[in-house]
Amino acid sequence: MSSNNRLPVVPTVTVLAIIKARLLGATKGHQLLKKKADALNIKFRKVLAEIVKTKTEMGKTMKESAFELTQAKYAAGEHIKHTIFDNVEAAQVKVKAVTENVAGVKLPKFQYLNDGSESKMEMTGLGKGGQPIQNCRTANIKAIQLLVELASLQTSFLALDEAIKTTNRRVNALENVVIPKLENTITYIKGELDELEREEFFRLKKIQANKERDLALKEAEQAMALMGDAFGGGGSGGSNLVDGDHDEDQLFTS
Amino acid sequence: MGITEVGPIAFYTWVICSISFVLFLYGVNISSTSDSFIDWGYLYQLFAFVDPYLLSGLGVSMAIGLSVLGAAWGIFITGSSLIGAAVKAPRITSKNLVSVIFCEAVAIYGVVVAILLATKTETVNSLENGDYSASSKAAGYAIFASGATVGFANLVCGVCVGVVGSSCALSDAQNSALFVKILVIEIFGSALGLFGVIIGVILSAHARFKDE
Amino acid sequence: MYGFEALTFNAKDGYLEALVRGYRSGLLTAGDYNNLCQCDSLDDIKLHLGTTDYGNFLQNEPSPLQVSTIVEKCTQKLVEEFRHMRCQASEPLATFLDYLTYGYMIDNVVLIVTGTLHERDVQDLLQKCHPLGMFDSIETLAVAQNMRELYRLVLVDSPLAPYFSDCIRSEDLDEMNIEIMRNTLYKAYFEDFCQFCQKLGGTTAEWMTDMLTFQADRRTINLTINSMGTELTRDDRKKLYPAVGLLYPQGQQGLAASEDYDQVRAVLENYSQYQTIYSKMGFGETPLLDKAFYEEEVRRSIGSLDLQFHYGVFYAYLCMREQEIRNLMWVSECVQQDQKARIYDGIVYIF
Repeated sequence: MSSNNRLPVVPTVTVLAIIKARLLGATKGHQLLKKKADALNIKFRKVLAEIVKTKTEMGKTMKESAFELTQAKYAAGEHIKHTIFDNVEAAQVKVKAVTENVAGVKLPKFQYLNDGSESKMEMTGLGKGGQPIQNCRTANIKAIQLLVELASLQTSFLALDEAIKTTNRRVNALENVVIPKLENTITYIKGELDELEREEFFRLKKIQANKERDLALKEAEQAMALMGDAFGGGGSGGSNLVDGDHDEDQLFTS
Repeated sequence: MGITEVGPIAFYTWVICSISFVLFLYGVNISSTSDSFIDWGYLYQLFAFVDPYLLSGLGVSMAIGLSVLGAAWGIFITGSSLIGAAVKAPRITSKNLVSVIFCEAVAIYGVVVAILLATKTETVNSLENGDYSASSKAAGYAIFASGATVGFANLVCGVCVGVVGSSCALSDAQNSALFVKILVIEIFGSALGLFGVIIGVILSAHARFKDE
Repeated sequence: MYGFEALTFNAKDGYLEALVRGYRSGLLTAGDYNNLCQCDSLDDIKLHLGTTDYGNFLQNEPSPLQVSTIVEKCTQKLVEEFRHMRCQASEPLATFLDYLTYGYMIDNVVLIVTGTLHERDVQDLLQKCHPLGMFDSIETLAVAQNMRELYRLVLVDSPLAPYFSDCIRSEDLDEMNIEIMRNTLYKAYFEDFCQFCQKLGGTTAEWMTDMLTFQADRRTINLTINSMGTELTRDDRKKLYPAVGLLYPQGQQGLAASEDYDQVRAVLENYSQYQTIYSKMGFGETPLLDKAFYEEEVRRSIGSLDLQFHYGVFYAYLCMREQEIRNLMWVSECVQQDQKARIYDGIVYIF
């Protein structure tokens, strides 16, 4: 498994150092992203709570304003709506879009703007039903205010949702993919390096053993030669001890 | 709204009619010998010598004419309401024909009395001085009075039944329980004509042209 | 010759009077309204209306029923009945019935004028017009580009011409607020109608004067209340008051000067006939007078049925039908919006 989930690197100390640096970066990034996600989540919850609140209020307000319309129609007649439709000039209520920055995420936001100019509508229904019409107007302006607020919240909600998703994806990617991969790579590199070290050690041991064996052989020969001298005047021996040190270098090539 | 409108034209018509009537009386008096503006004695003479046949003829025609006028008036008042009300409540038509029949009855009273009065009229010879006998004159007056009584009574009765019948049709269309109650009122209205008929019959009962 | 209409009235108008009373018996009763109030959906309402005089007028409507459809269909029924009567009518009833439509006509003219000034499509505007207020030349209304042309080309031929010429000078036409124009026309209409009824005489004159007095006073009071806090000055306001009615002229002086409800109430307290109205006006709070006025209107309308041989029944019938349409609208809206608690606030029981 470890061979799959790791970066294709040459296991050297330099690479190890680089990977280690990358792991450090990843961990730090993970921490930061986690913090961002938390911040977004907090905002998200707040928006959600507000949406719920506004929606409940909305239901009530819309119901009221719809009923005010009914009352206006009752007092002024069904045809009043045509009079009002045809009297419309420029919109009195406008919506302005601004952006808000939460933890680096740009949230669109709508602002309710009432230009405050009293329309000519205040005379509508002068002879019949003016009062309920004005009530209806006020109630509906209130409803529009709430609607704008709700729209603003909903848009932020969606944007936040998106942002949180991406952030979480990043966090998860770091946490579950990048960091384990890096860690695996490090383990692998370390393993490889250890193995190299162990081989070196073994080689050294082997060389030492060979050398000891050679030495022992030589001593035995010397002893034999000494004995030959003693018994057969073996003057052939008498090699220098120092010569014994002079031996062929052993090369392991494997 | 015709009759309800008392405009200046109606007023001037009244004034002109009254003036011409006074002038007529004056004109009649010119031929008399009296000094006063209006000679009542002469006027009495004028009316006292009216032919009894004229009076009886007038009586008969008033009895039938005014009765039929009343009946017809009543029927159109009832009828038009009945037709209108029957558009939305067709069930009322047959029941409310009773109202029309009540109006019709008024005309029948008139016909009956007119026949009665007509049979009273007989030929008699006038007296030598051109005058008629006292009983002939009395008969003429009686028939005239009887015809006028029956005629006017039935005229008003017919209108009354007609108006009540119209209301009857309207209320029956709304609430059928009201029909019988209003019908009672209509019967009372119809009885008014009968009063006239009774008096008319009694008035003419002793009318005899011939001296017995 | 008061009271003698009985002799001649039926010659011309007996049929129609009976007919309108027949129509009146088709109005919904308190029992019907109680049934309607129990409904849970508009389809239930449709079902209930099927058992009344309305019959199957909603039969061919597609299933998600709209309140506006109900109102439209009811209005259509009223218009059909009214047109039928208008066709049968002879003078002077025909003129009387025409007078009844002038109010709608004023609304239509004002609507088209507004639409023209805002460059709306004529056909759309004509669709929106009240069918009772149509007159022959109304389509050509939109030809005119400005008010002066409008008057010169079109309105001269319409029945409303005298109202325009009497009350609105042509130089005023262009910059006049449309609502003020409407109310000026209404004022002229009221005065003219009142005069016409006086001319008719008899019970008609008596009852109609009573009713128009009430209507004019209602208008006066509404004008006063609705113009509070607007730019309408005291003199302008006074100019819009109809010169008929119980409140004319003394009450109107007081109302013209009124700036809040308490003052209005104080003026009205001098008129005991309007006790039902001003008793609904609380001290210092916004009163909802419309229902009180509607109730009074219906009460008076029902009174007209107690009299016979007069034209008031036609007016009364129109008022009651309008109220019925309003009631149905209210009930349907309440049912649709699930506002059962308020359902009884809007219904004015007619019978």
